[in-house]
Amino acid sequence: MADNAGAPKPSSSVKLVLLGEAAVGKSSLVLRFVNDDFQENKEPTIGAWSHRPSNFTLTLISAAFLTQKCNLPTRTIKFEIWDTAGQERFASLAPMYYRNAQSALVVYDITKPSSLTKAKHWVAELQRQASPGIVIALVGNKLDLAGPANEESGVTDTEEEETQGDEENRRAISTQEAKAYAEEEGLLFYETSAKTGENVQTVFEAIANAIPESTLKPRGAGGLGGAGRGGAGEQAPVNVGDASRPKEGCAC
Amino acid sequence: MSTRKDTNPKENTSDRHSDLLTVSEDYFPPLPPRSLPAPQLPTHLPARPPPLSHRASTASLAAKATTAISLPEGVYAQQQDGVSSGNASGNVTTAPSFSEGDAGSIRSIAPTVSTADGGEEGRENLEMMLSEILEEDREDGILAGLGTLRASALPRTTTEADDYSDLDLDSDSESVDSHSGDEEDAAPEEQRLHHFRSHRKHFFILSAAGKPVFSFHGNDSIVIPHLGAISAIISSFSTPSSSTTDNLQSFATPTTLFTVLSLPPLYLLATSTLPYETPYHLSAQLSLLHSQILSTITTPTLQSAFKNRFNFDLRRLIGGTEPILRSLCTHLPSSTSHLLSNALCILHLRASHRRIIHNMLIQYRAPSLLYGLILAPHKLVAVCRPKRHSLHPSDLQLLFNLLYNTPTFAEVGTEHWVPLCLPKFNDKGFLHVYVCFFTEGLACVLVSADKEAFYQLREMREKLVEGMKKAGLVSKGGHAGKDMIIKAGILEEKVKGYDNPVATWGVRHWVVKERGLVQITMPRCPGRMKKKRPKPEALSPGVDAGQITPDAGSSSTGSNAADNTDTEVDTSSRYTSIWRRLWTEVHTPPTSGVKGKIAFITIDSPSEALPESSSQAPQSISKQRQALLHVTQPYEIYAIGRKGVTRDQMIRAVREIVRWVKREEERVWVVGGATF
Repeated sequence: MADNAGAPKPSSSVKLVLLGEAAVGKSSLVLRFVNDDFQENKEPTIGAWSHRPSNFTLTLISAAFLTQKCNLPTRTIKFEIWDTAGQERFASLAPMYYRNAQSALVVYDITKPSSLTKAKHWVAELQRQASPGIVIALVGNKLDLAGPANEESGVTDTEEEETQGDEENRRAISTQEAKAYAEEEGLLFYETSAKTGENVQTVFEAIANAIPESTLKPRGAGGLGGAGRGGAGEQAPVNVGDASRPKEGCAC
Repeated sequence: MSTRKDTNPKENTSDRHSDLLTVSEDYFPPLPPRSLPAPQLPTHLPARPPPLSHRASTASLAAKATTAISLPEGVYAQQQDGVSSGNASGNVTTAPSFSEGDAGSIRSIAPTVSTADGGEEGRENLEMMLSEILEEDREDGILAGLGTLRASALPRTTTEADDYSDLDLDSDSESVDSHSGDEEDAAPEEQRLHHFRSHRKHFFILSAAGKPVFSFHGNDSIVIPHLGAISAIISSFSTPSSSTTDNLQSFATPTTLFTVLSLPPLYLLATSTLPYETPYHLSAQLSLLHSQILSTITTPTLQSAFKNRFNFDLRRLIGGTEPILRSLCTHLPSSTSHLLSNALCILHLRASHRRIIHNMLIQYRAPSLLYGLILAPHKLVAVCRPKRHSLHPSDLQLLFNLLYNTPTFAEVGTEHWVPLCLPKFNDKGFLHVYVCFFTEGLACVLVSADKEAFYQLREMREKLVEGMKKAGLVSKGGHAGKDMIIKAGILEEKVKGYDNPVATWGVRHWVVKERGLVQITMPRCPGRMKKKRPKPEALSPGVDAGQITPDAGSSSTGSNAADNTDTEVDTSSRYTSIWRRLWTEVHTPPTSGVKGKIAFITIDSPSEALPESSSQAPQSISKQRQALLHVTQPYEIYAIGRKGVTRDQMIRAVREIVRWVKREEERVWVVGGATF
């Protein structure tokens, strides 16, 4: 770190895990953040599948691993993102992904009350099981469906019959309700739209800012399994060469 | 398709909250113990009424063997025998031409079918086969052929024509989705039902209690009543003590073949009106679907889910994997590789290049690696495996389907960590699979039993790709680009036009299967053809209206469907249909062995041209083309000749093919792969 004064900004990697019920838009959020892209109708809408190879769901049966840099005024954060599958049967695998995560994005769908319930379960689980300093952001996605102007006629939410009846505003969870809960639990809170991109960048920046300097590790650290799990091969070695080894000393 | 809304798993799963790969107790409120599942109540019916045939147990795909990329010949032979005897039963009537000998020609088949529908559909298929495969001769042959077929078409009602005639081999599978847009939702129930019934293939998976698990077509409201009938039929033939072989396996109506795979707690049923599909084929398809379900949840989870609660709704557990099942349903019937015992298709690659990749797989092997695979679209490039373990072809088939038939993984550069059960490897537990498409179409698949191994496998992939770039096998170009390709393989195929190396010998297309290795090699399908359906329409002004009625309807609906899709029809299903027919020819009579068998079929492209459109269709060109299956000890060779090539010439050409394959042995097959 010190010896590398020429380097532009200290850079560290932050492990982030996305959790939330299936089809709330986790993959879309990541896609928006990583590629600034949005794929209409990205849910595994069953029948349309084979004819739209361009529409993919990252995490139908798996967890996808993506990386993206986030430039802050004082440093660069490289997010290592685990986009997990929302399907119920993968829930038991979740600990593997959040165990050493420094941050978590718990996503719900503002048009779908059950998804907030699920999100609360995730928050509780994270607070119980994840590393103590984990930064959790509660994110209400599909904000574009909230406004009367943005009525989607079910395109992005074909699975939710009951919400489709609502012509003007499909929002089912008020901002106040979710915000109150977030404050109570000490979470960051944002409402986003992966479709329009609204607030997506903000969420990730907020997380980056909220990560305590002290917990920042050099890039590449933090294995999928225990951080201590020894083999040199465990950790992404390509990045370890990074000059900054700022246990805590990185500039601020 | 929006009609699936009701059956969407998410909805079913939305209220769940506990986590489960293992189904926990609170899932299932305690229920009074049930002694016997309702549908399995012994019905003391006579076991087999005449129209139903009990098949020999031929259900599994490449059932017993699990050598890496190989299947012992003995096992293979057993299967074949089983199949043969199964086919011997005369009750399967869907494919009326089974018994036709060498001289059977396409034209001669149709009229032998007495029932209008069967004949008609057979004809439609043949017509499609002709129109696609005979593309090289389309100036004369196709048009003439279409005209004749049309002219000789059996009369039938217009409504039937509208619904059925556009469903050729491909649009059958394609129509699955293209027909199921939103408008279908709005359509009246009756219409939807009609539409549902118009599909040529159906797959149903249901629990022994009759609950829906998966259906290829239709939504709950349509499917569930059918499921009632299905489970009633199946259960009335199963006795508590009956083994799988005693259960109902297959039955047929004049138009439709039904095949059942009873693997409690699941029943699987396939129906087909495609020509030349036998119970063996359907059963193999069902078996792969079953494997797909197991690969999602493993056998123990499946069993325990139903053990506690007989009427468990499995969709809660397999939620989200419908697209994968669906793509299996769509692609299996036309998959050459699946047809030939899930044989692996190998990327034609210079031996030294393959050796380099194999060496690197060993050199960079992560400590917890179980299998390492480099895959090209539907083809194996290289594999490394432990000496004592092997990959089963049907497991690989599932992997290929997952990677290349669903869009889940296709994004270049995105890494995935997939818990996956490979049922033929071990149906009781999950393996963890690292998947990364490092360039367009090329995937690095690293399998480990350690769920924490992601990072080491990731590192291995980085080294591998780096190594391949250094070795010049993958271009060093940008991160994601089409220019990055394995040179001697895909490059040869795409750029240098590694094409049908024996095309000049009078063979239009061929497949060679190495029986011992269970691998196949074939040139690229000749002619990436556009759909030919609109052709007759173009002609229609000149043609007698009475004659064209059925086909005019078909071509218009056909092209409508084609509008939705990108019109490009994979011709391989045409070939598959011919391979299937050849296969049936060889395996129909109960033979003691298949050694040295040879079968010919003749595909006619009829000569009588359209009376009114002579300008486009030169008259009286009548040449036949021959299709041939030659089974030898090491190989099965399937070939379709060019037009007018005689049988003698075909045989000579096949010898050339065999010679070529032997010469290219090292490039064409992967023997053993790299082992550690």
